[in-house]
Amino acid sequence: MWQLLQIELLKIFRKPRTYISFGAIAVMVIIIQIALKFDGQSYIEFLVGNLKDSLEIPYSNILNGYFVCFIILNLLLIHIPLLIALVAGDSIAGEANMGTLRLIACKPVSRTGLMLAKFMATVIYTALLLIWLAFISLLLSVIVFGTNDILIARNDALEIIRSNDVMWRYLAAFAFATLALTTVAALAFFLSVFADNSIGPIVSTISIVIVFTILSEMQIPLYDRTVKPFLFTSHMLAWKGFFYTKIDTAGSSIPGTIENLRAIAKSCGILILYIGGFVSAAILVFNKKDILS
Amino acid sequence: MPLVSVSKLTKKFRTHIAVDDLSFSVNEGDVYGFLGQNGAGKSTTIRMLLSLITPTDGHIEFFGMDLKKDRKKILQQVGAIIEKPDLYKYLSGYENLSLFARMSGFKANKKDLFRQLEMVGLAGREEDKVKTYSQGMKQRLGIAVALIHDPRLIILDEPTNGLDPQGIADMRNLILHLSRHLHKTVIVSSHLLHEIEQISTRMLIIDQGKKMAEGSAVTLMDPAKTIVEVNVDHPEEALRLLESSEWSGYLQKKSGGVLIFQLPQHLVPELNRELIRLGINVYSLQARNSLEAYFLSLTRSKQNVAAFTD
Repeated sequence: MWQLLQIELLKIFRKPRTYISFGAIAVMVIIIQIALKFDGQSYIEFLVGNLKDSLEIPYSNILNGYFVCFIILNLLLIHIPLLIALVAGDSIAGEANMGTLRLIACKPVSRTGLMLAKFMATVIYTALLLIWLAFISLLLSVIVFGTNDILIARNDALEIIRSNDVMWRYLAAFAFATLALTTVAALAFFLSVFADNSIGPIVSTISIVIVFTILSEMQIPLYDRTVKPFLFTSHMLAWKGFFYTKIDTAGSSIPGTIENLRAIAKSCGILILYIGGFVSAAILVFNKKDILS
Repeated sequence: MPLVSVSKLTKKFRTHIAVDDLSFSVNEGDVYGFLGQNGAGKSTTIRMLLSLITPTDGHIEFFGMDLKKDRKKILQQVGAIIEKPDLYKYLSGYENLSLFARMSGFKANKKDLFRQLEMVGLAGREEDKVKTYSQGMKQRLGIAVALIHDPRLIILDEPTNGLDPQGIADMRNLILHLSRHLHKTVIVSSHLLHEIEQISTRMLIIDQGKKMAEGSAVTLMDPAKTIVEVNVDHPEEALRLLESSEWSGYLQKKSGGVLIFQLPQHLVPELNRELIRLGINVYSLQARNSLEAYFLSLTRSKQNVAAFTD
């Protein structure tokens, strides 16, 4: 299995297409950082809304590296699934398209082993993409903007998390984001089994994520109860929960606490179920698949 | 005991039967030709042998082991090229070979892999990306991939597809080398009758997924159906003269100045005498007691014979 995983990683990381995602993330993050560096105050004013009239907002303190990273994650984690689909959707269908699938499928390795190695390689790619995102969105922002307490806007309230209480939340958030994006990778991986061309599974994955995200965002009571709780997209943004703290009687956030850890755990469970389901189904289909490409 | 034993192999794709109750066996040391028109079921059969396609019915054994139960053990001893050798274009020839060697369970060092690449004529191009290779070079790399783990059995599906005449000749020589000098058993499929005729020790002819014949080229050639091509000076006049004679029954067609007969071999001299007796000037007479003639009698469409003799 280790041997197969090494081979799959070699194939992913020697393919130029793989680095499009890393490049795209770098470009997007740097664009956001430049915008916030030169006009961060406008963004904060927009964020705090009417509160700016009643409160004296310390803009220079708020616009720190932790805050910038939070904004970047909010803006980007919805779009990164598209980049994940580029590689995951290509894993089987791309091989079928190149004609190499028939070559590897007649080697003395089990099809299940092959699929698991491919999926694990995709998970590693996803994790590396998130580590890269963490590196440039958190580390670079901290270097450029410095550190301070982080201001979180929730509904009509503002919450302040102390700077010494932030880093572990980011680690947890990035770990959760890896799980969320692995779900998208598993979906693309599953769809990849059915196609002989990677465009199909990539576009299908993106379409499903878009449709599910729209459904997740819709404020329709019937869907709130019957559909939303079961959509993986409803749980993908649960990483924000790590930044929602318990509030003491004075209205200040309590360091080291998470408001609703249970909800995050539930989201984790649902995403893991989705991943297990997609990967199992992909292996099942691939084991029965006639390779005609 | 045969090296490969296939019994009652059937593959249905919805309503289409691609392979129909096919049985054959391949002995150790054979160059086993697998012959049929495009769409006859050759590739489907070969893909079933390599477990790429699951048979609807039937049984496949290699080296006395059941393919379903001992797939991994069997495939460790099999090397294959399926149609054109598509490899990872963004990797070098060396990286491709290394990757497939590891997948075949073969622990080769860089020196071994370079030696293998040199053997197939890719010395000096080992580190170049496959996308810079010509079709012939890709084919040779495909051969290196198929042979790197020193398999007992080599399966080649249409190995000459896309090759130029030199490449075809090289492939033919390679197959003969593998058989005669390295004592490998080779199963080779082709729609090119002439290629199979030249290299195979035994062959299977299939048509519409069904077995038509199995045996050596010599035993399959039917002396009763010798093809005779006669080049004459006035073919129209010759046709008119022959029309009312017993020879008209043997006449297949006229192609330009050539009259084509199919007749028992012992009648060839007599045909020659009759043409001269009728005053027809014969420029040349060529009798071909070949597999092609036999193939003609077996396959469903005589018009399609051209496809096998390209």
